[in-house]
Amino acid sequence: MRVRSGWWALALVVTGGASCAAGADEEDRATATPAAVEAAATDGGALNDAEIAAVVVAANSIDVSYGEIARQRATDERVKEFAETMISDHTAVNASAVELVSRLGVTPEENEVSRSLQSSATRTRDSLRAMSSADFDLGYIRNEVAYHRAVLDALDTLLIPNATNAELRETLVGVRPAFVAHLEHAEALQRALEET
Amino acid sequence: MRRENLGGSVWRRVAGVTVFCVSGAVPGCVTPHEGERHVVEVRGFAYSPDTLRVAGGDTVVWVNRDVVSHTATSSEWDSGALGRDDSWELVTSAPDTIGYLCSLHPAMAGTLIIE
Repeated sequence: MRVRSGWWALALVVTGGASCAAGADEEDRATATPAAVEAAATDGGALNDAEIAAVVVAANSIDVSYGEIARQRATDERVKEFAETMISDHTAVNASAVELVSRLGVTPEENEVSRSLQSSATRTRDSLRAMSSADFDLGYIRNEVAYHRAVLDALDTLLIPNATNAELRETLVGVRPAFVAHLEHAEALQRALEET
Repeated sequence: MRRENLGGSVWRRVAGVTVFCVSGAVPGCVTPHEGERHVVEVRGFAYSPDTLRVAGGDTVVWVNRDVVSHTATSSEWDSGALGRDDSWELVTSAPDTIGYLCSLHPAMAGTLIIE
């Protein structure tokens, strides 16, 4: 169950994060969450390296896509800059991950978790696009806080523990500080936005 | 390599490939004598060391070892975005204590003490 906790958290947040951030009611969250969790739960827990690679690529790509929405919709300069950093950093992390798995001869393998993340992220993107301009900056940042917490949990409980290739494991450990820094940055922005 | 003076200091930056040009270490690679040379590695979203004491006239080189870009930015100078394995250097001058951070990741902070 330890393995599943990070995975479930990630599925939960990419599904419900923006709805929650936007202040949507519990009914919205209830209808948004179970499908992703149910899909994720069918896999049984452990992932192989190829599946882990696919999850990593999906997780980074998803945050890039959120950043691209923020690039168009954010009005606060600090939020705009944060979004640009997310796009740049997660693109760089993905490039590094793809370079590594290519070198290792591992082809990322889509799996229930990566598919669930992608389908759930579609819903979150819809929520972000539907937010009013007045709500967007804080909504996006709250989602970023939740998302990075969930990715960190998934790294610690699912991805790093299950990686068998030493280089892949080192890479995952190596990118962890990026998610910590992003989380701290997002939390600071959230506090600043909530005070104004 | 980009290089800049801080009140007479000089900065340098290498794009893509870091070249440590230490007089006498590489044939044909000659640098003027500027005091001691110090390296601050940027790795794992942290400056290492995060606090560095140098003498005026020493050179400080920041080298980014992360896959994402970072900066070393103070109120007086700014490295600009350093990609993976890029470096940027500063030749120090007058005594000062300068706090700096990564403008892209403000949680990253360091201190340069010029004695």
